[in-house]
Amino acid sequence: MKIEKKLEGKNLYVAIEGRLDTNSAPELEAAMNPELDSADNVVFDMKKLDYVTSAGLRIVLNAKKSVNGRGEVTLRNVSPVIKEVFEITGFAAFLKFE
Amino acid sequence: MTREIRADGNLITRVFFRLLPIQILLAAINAVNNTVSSLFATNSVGSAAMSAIGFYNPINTLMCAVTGLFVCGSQIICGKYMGANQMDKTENVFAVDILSSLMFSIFYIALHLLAVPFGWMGLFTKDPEVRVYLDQYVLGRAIGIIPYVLGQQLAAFLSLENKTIRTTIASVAFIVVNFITNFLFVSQWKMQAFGLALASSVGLWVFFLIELAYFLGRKSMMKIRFKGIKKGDFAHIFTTGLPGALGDGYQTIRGIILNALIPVYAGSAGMSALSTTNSFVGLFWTIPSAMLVVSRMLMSVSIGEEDRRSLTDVMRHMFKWSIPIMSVIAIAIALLAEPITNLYYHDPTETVYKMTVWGMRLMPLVMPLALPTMNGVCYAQSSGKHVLVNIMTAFDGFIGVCLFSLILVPAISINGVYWATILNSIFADLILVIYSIIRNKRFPRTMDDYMVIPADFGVEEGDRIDMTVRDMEDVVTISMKVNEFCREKGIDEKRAYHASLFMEEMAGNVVDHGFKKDNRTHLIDIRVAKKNNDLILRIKDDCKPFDPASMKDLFDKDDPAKNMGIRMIYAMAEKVEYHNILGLNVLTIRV
Repeated sequence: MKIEKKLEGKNLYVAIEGRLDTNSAPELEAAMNPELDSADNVVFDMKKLDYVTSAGLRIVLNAKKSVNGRGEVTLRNVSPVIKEVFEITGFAAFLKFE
Repeated sequence: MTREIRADGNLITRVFFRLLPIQILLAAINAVNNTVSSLFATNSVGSAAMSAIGFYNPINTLMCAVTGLFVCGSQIICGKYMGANQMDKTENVFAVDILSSLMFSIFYIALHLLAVPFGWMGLFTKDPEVRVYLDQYVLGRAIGIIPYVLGQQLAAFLSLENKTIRTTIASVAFIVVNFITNFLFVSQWKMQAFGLALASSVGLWVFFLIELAYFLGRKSMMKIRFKGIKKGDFAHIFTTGLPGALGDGYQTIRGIILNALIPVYAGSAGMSALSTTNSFVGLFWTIPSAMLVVSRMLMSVSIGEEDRRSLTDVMRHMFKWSIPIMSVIAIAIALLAEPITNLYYHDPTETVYKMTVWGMRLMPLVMPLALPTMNGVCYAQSSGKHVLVNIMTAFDGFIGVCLFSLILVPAISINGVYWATILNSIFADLILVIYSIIRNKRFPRTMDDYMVIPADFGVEEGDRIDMTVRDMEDVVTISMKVNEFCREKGIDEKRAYHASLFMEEMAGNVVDHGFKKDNRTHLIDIRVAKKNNDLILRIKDDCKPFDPASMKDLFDKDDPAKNMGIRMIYAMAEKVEYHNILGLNVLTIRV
């Protein structure tokens, strides 16, 4: 998995490439942690994300919990197959898709 | 680049050794009952009572044979249905089995009760003293027919559900009650042969009721289900279990032929030596017999699952573990032949002593040699190869031993019977190899060849992957492999994604929770198979029983991520089925 991140003001942009699975989820969590507290909004770019499991969904949920009340979590360029996972688990209800 | 993970058959080995002790215990119950009865008969009643027990033996053998027929037939059929996730049919077979066993029991009780007033036992003995004891014994045993016949059926179904603790409690209770009731009825209250039989019967009722309590409770996976029973169900059980009962019949004919042959060429010393050897080595025969019951359960479930890999693993296990274990036991008995013989006879110059020593040296070798035939016939029986089963049962039951004995006994006396039994086993093993050569038109090169598994059985090698998971790293690797496999097989992107995801979620869940629930090491066997247009995932683990369906609807508002993997699978998969078979969690997901 490849992660690219940048903090612009209060917005944290995270682009993920490859597989976000049980093994790689902790890596993403560790990468986001330093900036997460200072961000009001988190934007995930999932254009190159091939695969996500419940471990990956937990990271998104943690981001949502972190910004709750201050801002929101947005998912961009989500493929239909991955979007179905967010919908079925009920996560889509509290996330913004672009 | 993913690392190589293959299925290693270790799960079969673990299940095998977990199921084996209880089967040995069940097999030992009869031996304990006979020993305790004999002790009380000879010490507290007298030799005439012992003779009465001896005359009752054929009646008991017939009951055991019919009981065994029902057990074997229903266990094979139920195993196959369980493997194929057809629980309703399993429950139908359970109901038919219990009903048939009950009807046979009532019929047999009626025969027992009529035998005394109509004087039928006079056919067995003319000795008036023995006759009185025999009539008493018959009435006492009639009380124990229902718990024996039905108790054996319930024990078989408890084994399929892997309820080892309950079977152990029932078995130990039987042994304790049997001893106490023998002491009270026979030694203290002088109830003679009726007391001997009643003691066994009371013990059997205790055994039966402990088992029955489980099936009457709500925990049992198996319920008696009459709805959906077909006319052919009884015939199916009967024909599947018949070869085993025929085997018992052949053994009786073999005994009659040998009884006629041995006194002529080896005298009464030969008869005594053979019977002493058989009674001692017979104690150890409980182990290969129990091994066979376990193989039978594993094979029938594998056939139901259409799982070629597990099926051949059962046979591999026999070569890798069962034969070496029995070889060590056989060699140990052979090396200790003289000290063992000293337990029975004390004069080394006597003919019977020498004959027994040779018996103890040679007869144990039959145990490892018989295993390939026992397992081969078991597979043939489970897979419906009736001609082979009948040939093997007749040859191994009596043709082989009698033929070789007729040639060898006149030349080398009782040793001829010992060698005949060994040669019989070797030839029976060879017949299976010859059968494989004839059917495959080549010498068997793989276990599939050796077992002559039909080419269209289950899923072809290229259309399935079998892997074993040991830790979380394996889970992710396997999930990637599943995705690769799906893409190679032309499965669309969405289903390939789902297959990979379900595998990772479920196997990961087992590693995360199941592996940590006790201090044991665990394994997960994974199989992905494409059959026609179906994609089937099967996850089989040896952790504590866990039905994921119990979690699928649990949504925690405070923690939406809880049980997320399981909820995902149940929402997205076409079909999810869970069963606990032989103590293994088996989850089948259709993608």
